[in-house]
Parts: sequence; C-alpha cells; structure tokens
Amino acid sequence: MTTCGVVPVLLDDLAQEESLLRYVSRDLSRHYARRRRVTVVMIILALGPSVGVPGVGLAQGAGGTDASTIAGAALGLYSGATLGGLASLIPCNQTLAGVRCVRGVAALGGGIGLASGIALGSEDQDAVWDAYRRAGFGLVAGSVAVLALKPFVDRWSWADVGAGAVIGSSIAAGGSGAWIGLVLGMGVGVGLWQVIPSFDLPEAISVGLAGMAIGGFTSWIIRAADAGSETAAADLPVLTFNLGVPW
Amino acid sequence: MQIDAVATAVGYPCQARRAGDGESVRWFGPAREPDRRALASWCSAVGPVELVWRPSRSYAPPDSVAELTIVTWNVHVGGGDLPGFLEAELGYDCDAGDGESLHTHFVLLAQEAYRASDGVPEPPEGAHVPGRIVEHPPTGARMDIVETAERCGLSLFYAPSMRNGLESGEHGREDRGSAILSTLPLSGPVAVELPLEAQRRVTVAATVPGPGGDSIRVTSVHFDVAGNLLRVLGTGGSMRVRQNDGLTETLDMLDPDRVIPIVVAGDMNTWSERETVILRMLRTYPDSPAPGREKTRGDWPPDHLFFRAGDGPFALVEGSYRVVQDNYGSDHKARLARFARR
Repeated sequence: MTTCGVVPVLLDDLAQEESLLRYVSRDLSRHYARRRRVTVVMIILALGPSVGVPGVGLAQGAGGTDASTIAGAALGLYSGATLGGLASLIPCNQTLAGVRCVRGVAALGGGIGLASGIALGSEDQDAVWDAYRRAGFGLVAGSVAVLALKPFVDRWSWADVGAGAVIGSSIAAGGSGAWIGLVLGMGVGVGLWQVIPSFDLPEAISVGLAGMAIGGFTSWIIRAADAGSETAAADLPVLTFNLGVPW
Repeated sequence: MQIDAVATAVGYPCQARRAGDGESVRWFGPAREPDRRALASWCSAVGPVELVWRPSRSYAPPDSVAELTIVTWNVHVGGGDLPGFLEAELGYDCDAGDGESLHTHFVLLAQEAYRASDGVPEPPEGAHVPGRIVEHPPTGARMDIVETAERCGLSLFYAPSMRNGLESGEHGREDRGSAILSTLPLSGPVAVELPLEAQRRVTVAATVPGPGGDSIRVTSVHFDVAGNLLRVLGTGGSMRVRQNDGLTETLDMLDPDRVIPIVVAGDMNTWSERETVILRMLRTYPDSPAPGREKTRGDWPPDHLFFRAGDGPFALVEGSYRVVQDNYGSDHKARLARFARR
C-alpha cells in the first residue's frame, strides 16, 4: 500500500528507484497543482464580491437575481466548508479516519452552506451582499490578528496571514452565530477543562470550534429560511444588533 | 549519482548522507520531488552520521542479556544530563572502568541530541539553518552525543537532522538530530528522512541482540510539530500521520512480513494520546503498552513507545512501561520499558 506523497525511496538503489521517483513525483505534482488551483478559484469566487460591495441598505426582501444566487452559493460553500473543517480538526484527528473525517465534515458543512447560500441568494440579494460585506470585514480582521501575532510565532509566514484571512472571513460570513458560538463554546470548554481533570486543553478548544460551526450553520440556515419572508430576520434573532459607525 | 542529482541541481548537494560512516547506512527518503529538494537544502548544512558499532567497555555478567531496558528521551540539545540519568535510573556509571557489573543492558533512543564538530560544514548560501538552541544540564558541562558515548563507553548511531544555528564567536559548528546509544553492539543501521513538514527529521534505526541473543530492531523517531497555520488547514492536521506513513512504509520495506521484533519510540510531538498517529501506530505495533495520559512535556503527552513482537521471543515486562519523573534538565521526561524473553 502506498500513501499520497510518502512513498519511500531507498536512496542507495539508484537505477530502479529513479523511475519510481519520477513517476510518483510527476503524478503528485499534477495532483497538488490541481488542488491549489481549485482552492484559489474557490476563494476568489467566494470572496471576490466582498471587494467593492455596493453600498446597499439592509432592507429585507430585495428579491434575488442569478448573480446573487451564484454569489450566495459560493460564499455559503466556502464559509460552511471552512467552518466544518475547523470544527472537525481536533475531534477527527483523534480517530483512525483522521483527515478523511475532516474532509467529510468539511463537505457536510460546505453542503449546508451551499444550500443555504442558494436559498438566500435566490430570494434576497441584499442579504447576500451583506454577508459579503461581513466576510470582507472578517478577512481584514483575520489577517490583522495573525499579522499582530506573527512576530511572536517563529514559523508563521505571510501565507499564515492569508490563512488568518480565510478563517476570519469564513467566521464572519457565518453571521453572528459563528462568533457567538465560538465565544460560548470556548467558555464551556475552558470551564470543563478547569473542572474535569481528564478533559484536556485540546478538547476545550474543540468545544469552542464546535460552537463556532454550529452557530455559523444555524445563522446560515435561519437567514436562508427567512429570506423573502415579510418578517425576515437578518440573523439569529437574539443575536442581532446594529453598530452605528459615525464616519 | 542520479538520486542526488535533484539536490545538486538546485545547489544543495546532500553529501552528509554518504560522508564518513554514512556509506554503511541504508538511507531512505520520500519520493516526492518538492520534499527531496527541501530536504537536500537542510541536509547540506549538517555533518555526516556518527557510528560506533560496539561499546568500548566490557562488562561483567550478565554476559548474555537477560533483560533489555529501552529508554526514549528528548534530551533538549544538551540540556538533559545523560550521565546523571543513566546512573540514577539505570544504575550505569559512565565513569566506571572495564569489568564493572551491569544492572541491565539498555538502549537509549535520543531525540534532539547535538554534536559539536568541525566536521559540520559551512552551510551553502540559502541552506536551511534553524536558530541555535544551547541548553545546559543542571550539573556538569554541556556534552555532545559523541563525547557522551565516548565517556560512557557506549555504541552510538547518530544522524543529524538539521544544523544547530550558525557558527559565531563563542559557539562552534553544531548540528542536532536523533541517536541510539547502547551497551550492546549495533548492526544494520538505517536512516529515514521523513516527509518534510516544517523541519528535516531523520529517524535512525539499528538492530541489537535482545534477550537470549535474538535480534530486535530499535528506532528513534522525532515527528514534527505543525509547520504553520496554513499547513494545518491545508492538510487537515495530518502532518504527523503523513510522516508516520512514510516511516511505516520504509520499515515494512525492510521487513515485509513483519517478523523482526521492533521498538519504535520517540518524541511524536502529539497533543493527545488519542491522536490519529498514535491510534495508527498502535495498530501497526499491536504489542505496544497503552499510551497513557501522563504528560512528558509541560501539559502535553508527546513521548511514546511502540512495540511489535513479530516472530521474536520477546515480550514487554508487565508494568515496566513508565514515565521517569525527573527530567534531568531536559524539557521532556523520558519513558522507559523493559523487555525479556517470553
């Protein structure tokens, strides 16, 4: 059995192994290049509209267009998949399935986000642009947060600033439910960590990330379900608030 | 050599693999070209392997090994007091002469061992040189792995993974990596360059005569921590699983039928004793002791020992697997286990 990228080569046995090396390298190079391209296209598709979002109001029931449906689908898929992936990192990496489990949960999250994004975009274009605006704020906040921490973490590079942007934008696109869930989850997790000796720090973080994903999915579903209704709620009703920015 | 042509072409000939006693070592590495290029860059800044086939000291009975103690310990680049550890935990006096009695034969699997030597080359421009770590033991002078083996009369197999900083006024040339120290003679040395995550990591393996004279393979492993945030996201946190897959495939190439008894131990850099890589290793090495929840570095459980009996006559002595409570100046506590004939 061979595993992606880790086929060992006996460095002494030259002629025979060289062909194996070349075959595996070429094959994997193609595979990795394709994966990188798909990821970049997904992120551009998902976040592109957050640059230069039209300054629309938050009025409900603005109706949907083809563009808002596609944009909602892309953002929902991106946000849901990232939230699912993040939430599953710790629990899945404590199972034999490991990364396959992470991929499964990310796919499930992506599915929820995709369906919600389509429903939202087809009914209410204003709500979609609002989600993009939030994602844009999250993108900036996430990159600034990593940038601030970067001098203190040896191994972080500019790519990690990009990773912070991806995480920030997916949380923000998930609506207020995502970050409220993260805060509540972390509170519960840290509390359990303090009280239960067998409950370790990774589990505490895991509860926080699970709260974030559950909150984010809930926000997406509620927004999608309420899109187009007369009394639409913009987000989780108890968590909705407006910040007045004076400039 | 064709296999090194990739490294040479990008300006980082990895001569350390075959310099000195490296010719005696079977080297394995990942097939993926990006892995190989990056590994060559790291390798170009380190010196050759060190091999001392036989212990330089002779021991009074037990002549034949009745029991074998295997220790795994991250010695934190000179911080861990190895002679002090051996004396206190294994009753082995490094300064005793020939013919002294021996409580038990042992194999010590060390990670983050360092070597200070002019044989460590000047790194080529652009080669990967991580920051210097200089730790001092609580008592006595800082002593590198070669000097430790000489003073204690032990056999040694050391393969550097990376350079230990640049040479400067008060600090000479150093590299650091994994090692095997033993009161028993070593044979069949194998070095495995793990798939690259954040830093080059070389696993060393060798065979020693176990209790009753049958051979047992011992392997000193040091998996990586997460390189960065992007890598965790991109791989779904599977960095160490990938490294273990590479190691397992290599060890299976050496022993396809899994008949030779083997101990694989080291600093796995795991954040949980239930991490996927641990669960997988427990399947690969079904005779392993339970990983245990004891913390060996701060609040984390990174150090573990795995065992597969194969067709050999050895078994883990029940209840012998434990964490050594004193860290002897290292930032890790050691784990040890005893093995005897079934």
